[in-house]
Parts: sequence; C-alpha cells; structure tokens
Amino acid sequence: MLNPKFFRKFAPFITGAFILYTILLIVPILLSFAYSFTNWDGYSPSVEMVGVKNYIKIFHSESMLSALKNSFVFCFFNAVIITLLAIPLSLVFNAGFKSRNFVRSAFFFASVPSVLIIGYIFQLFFGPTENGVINSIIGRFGLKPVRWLSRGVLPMFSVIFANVWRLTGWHACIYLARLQGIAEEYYEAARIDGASRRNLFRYITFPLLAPAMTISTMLIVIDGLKIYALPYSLTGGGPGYKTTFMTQLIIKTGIGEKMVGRSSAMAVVFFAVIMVVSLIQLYFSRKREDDVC
Amino acid sequence: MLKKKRFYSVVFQILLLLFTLLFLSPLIYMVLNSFKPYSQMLREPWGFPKELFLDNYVKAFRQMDFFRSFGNSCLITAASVVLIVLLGALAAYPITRFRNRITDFLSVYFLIGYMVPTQVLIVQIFSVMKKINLINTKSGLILVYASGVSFAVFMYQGFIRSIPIDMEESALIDGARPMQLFWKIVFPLLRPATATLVIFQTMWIWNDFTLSSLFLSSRKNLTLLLELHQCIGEFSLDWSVMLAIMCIVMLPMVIFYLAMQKQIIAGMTSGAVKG
Repeated sequence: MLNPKFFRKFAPFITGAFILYTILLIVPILLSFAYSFTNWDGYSPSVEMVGVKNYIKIFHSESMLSALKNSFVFCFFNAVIITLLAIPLSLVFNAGFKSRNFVRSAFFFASVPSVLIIGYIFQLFFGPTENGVINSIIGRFGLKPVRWLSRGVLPMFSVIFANVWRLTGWHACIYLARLQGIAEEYYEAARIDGASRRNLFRYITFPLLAPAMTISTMLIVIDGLKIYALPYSLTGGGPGYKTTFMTQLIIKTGIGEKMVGRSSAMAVVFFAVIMVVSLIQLYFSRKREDDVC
Repeated sequence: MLKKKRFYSVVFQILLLLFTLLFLSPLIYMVLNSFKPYSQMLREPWGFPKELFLDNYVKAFRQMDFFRSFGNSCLITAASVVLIVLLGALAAYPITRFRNRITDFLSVYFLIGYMVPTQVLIVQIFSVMKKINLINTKSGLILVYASGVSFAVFMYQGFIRSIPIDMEESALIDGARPMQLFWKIVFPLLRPATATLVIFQTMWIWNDFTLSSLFLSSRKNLTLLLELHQCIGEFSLDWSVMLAIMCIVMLPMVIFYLAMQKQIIAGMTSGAVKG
C-alpha cells in the first residue's frame, strides 16, 4: 500500500470509470426495480404506480414461463454437452502429434465469427425443404426432409446444436490450459504403481481439471443466460415461444411492445435467477475443488 | 512394434483431420458457396465452383455500404476499447494501492457489473440514453460498451497487486506527480493485462449484435454486422450473395484472430474471458 496521505491526489483517477459505470449500469439496475412497480410505456410523461401487478401478470403469462424454462433448458444442455465434448477434445489437443496446432486452431476458430452469422449459416443447414443442407444429405439415404426449425423439440435442439458447435473448441482450450499445468510426476508415480490408463484419467486428470470445470461451466451458463443473436437469426424465437429466451423476451416486451414496467419486472426476476444460479454453482464447484485437495 | 505404433498414429491423424473438416463444414459451406451462382448452390452444395465466379462479391459490394460500415465498426470498437482500457487502468490503480473505506466500497461496487449482464438491462439503458439524447449515435453506443469498464477494473486490480510497489513509492518520495507516475511507471508494466483486455474486448464488441442493433438504427451509423442484417432483411432471396456478404463481414475478425492467435489462447488461461 502507498502512503495514505497521497490518496487525495490519486482519487480523481477513479472519476471517469465511476461516472460512466454509475450512469449506464448502476442507474439502470435501480431503474429496473423502480419501473417494475409502474405501468410506464417508455414515452408518456404520466406514470402510475401499480404495485406488484406486473409481477403477478408475468407469472401468469405463457411467454414468460416458457422463456424462463427455455433459458434453463438451454443452459443446462449446453453446460452438460459442451463439458462432455470439450474434456475429451482437450485430451486430443494435448496429445503429441504433428497436425495438433492446426486442429487446435480449427476448433477454436468456430468462436471467431459473430453469433449472428453462425445463426444464419445454421438456418441454411437446418432448412426445412429438401434443399436444406442436412435434409439434402439425409435425402440421399432415402429419408424424408425433416422440419428442423418447427417440429416438436427440434427447434430447441437446433439452437443448442449451433451453440455447442460454436463453443466446444473454445472450452477445450480452457481445459487444455489446465492440462498443461498438471505435473508429469503424478503420472510417473501412478504408472510405477501400475495404474491403468483409464485410472490415470479417473484419479489424476479428471479431479485436477476441477478448477477449469468451474470456470468453463460458469462461462457457459452466464453466456447462455445472455444469448440473444443466435436464436434471433436462427429461429427468430419461434415457432411461437419455443425458442424465445429471457433476454429476447425482456427486450421485446420493453422496447418492441413498449411495456417498460412489465419488462422491468421480468428483468428483476431474471436478476434473482442469475444470482441464485451463480451462488449454487459456486457452492458446488467450491465443494468439489475442496474434495479434491 | 514400432511400425505398428506409427501406423496407428497415422490412422489416428487422418481420422482426426477428417473429423476436423466435418466440424468446419458450416464455414467451408459458407466460403465455397459464396463463389457459386445460386442455382449451383442449390443443386450441388458441396461441389467446387466450375470457374472463378465473383458475381456474388460484386453484387455484395453493390448492396452493402462496405466502406462506411467498416469505418463505423472500426471507430466504435477502437473508441470503446480505448475507453475501457484507460478508464479501467486509471480507476484500478488507486483502488488497489490504497486501502480505506472508499476503496473497499469501490472494489465491491465495481463487482456488481461483473455479475449483472448488460444485455438484461438494455431496456433501462435505453431509457437513460433517451434522456441524454444519445440514441442512434455512435458516441452513445461507444459509451454503452465502455460502461463494461468494471471488468477492466477487476482485471487490472489483480494484475497491479502482483507488481512490486517499491518503484512507485520511491517515485512518490522523489516528488513525481500522480499522472507522471502512472504513465511512466505503472501503465507500461500493465502491458500483458492490457494486451489480453484489448484482444477480448475487441472480439466481443466487433461481433456484438444485441447492443448495436438496439442503439443504432439509421443507415449511416450501421456497423458491418448490422449492414449484413439489413441486407438479409432487404434481399434475402439470393442466399449465395448473402454468403458473400457474410464472408466479407467475417474477414476482418478472421485476420485479427490469425494475427493474435497466440495471445488469445494464452489469455484464456488468465481469466480474461467475458463478453
């Protein structure tokens, strides 16, 4: 620490960040609480207090309940599938072979284009007619075209698929970084004791990947809760509300339908959800890491 | 024995390369078909173009305003990143190097932004921006991105803590002014953190659609990505042209990625990932 008497000279350093952050982040958070008890439309000067009416309304609306459910389903499947794919992939990345740098960059590359573009490309892949890329391939085997973006759970599957495609390489790199940090001595000692390859993974590699798993799943869930452009360009949130997620619903209600009050109530509920999810996740991850040590 | 091992290794590599190509097929599809007429794209999506066919690109440049939107993207990304880095580093310094009630409060205060995603607050940010008349202006969007400065504050705090303090102390005793001390001694030492921050913030701001699509609407302000969105809305019938536009929109980020690849993968380990 520096001598406290100098603090006053350095305090102005904080002003810029403080003002910007307060006006564009803290004030909006406070506003969302305040608006959530009103019927404000975003334009008119007259605002009425409506108490908790917005909260009651949103918990009875089909759109809110399905968006909340969709966001959960999306985050859950992404976290599980990406983790299951990224860990083996990171082992491949870590193996010694010639083309490894190419393979690493190729898988990571999927996260370079904007999600908007990825959504459009997968829209062509999951196209409903026989000209859709996937349908034209399965058509060669005599199968009928599948309506990927409208039938049953397939729209949700398509959005999850595109997101898994986008993020697996990225998350494999997070695991790879951790793998490279595991000391070779552990493996040597275990091999001398006659451990099989499977046991090496199970008792050494996997437990030591715990910190990477914490970071990775946390990022997947946070990113999943915010997802907006991908369903926007891939399915447009439809059919109906089948692939509408919380972010999209909040924006649509507040800006598109001009119900700022109701949209704010949704945002407040969503904050609560995010907080609870991150706390639960932190608790379990910490516990797992403690068990390892 | 050794021969057998080598054989397996070759088979493994070939299979892996094939799998990698399969994995990349969406991007291969995009690039391949941007060089074909639409009719051929429908008939044989995986065939190679029969000749060097650049019509799609010619049409793409006619439909989109490339230079203006590219300029907008560059300006918005660069200005936001500079603000984030400068304001973040400046704020993090006193918060880390002094311990009192104010700095204790501030380090918690800036953490809130780390937990609440901007995307969820868009409606409220929108109404604040409308109050100060910054809707549909580039400077307004830049400020919105720059309010993500809390992440930079958080990251720099960790980094500053790891630098020895002696030089700064003696500089202060020798009568250095705070700004001098910061620019001459501290900021250069923060370079690794700054590099990671610049790379990841550039990637996410350049690729962002959520915020830019809501805060910019008139054609003269559109970024590359919004220009693509606009074109798809207007002429989405000819998808091979759209694919050409997508390739054009993607190219700057691809070049950026190839140039920064090493630092990107290194940065992933230092927890620089948020967006």
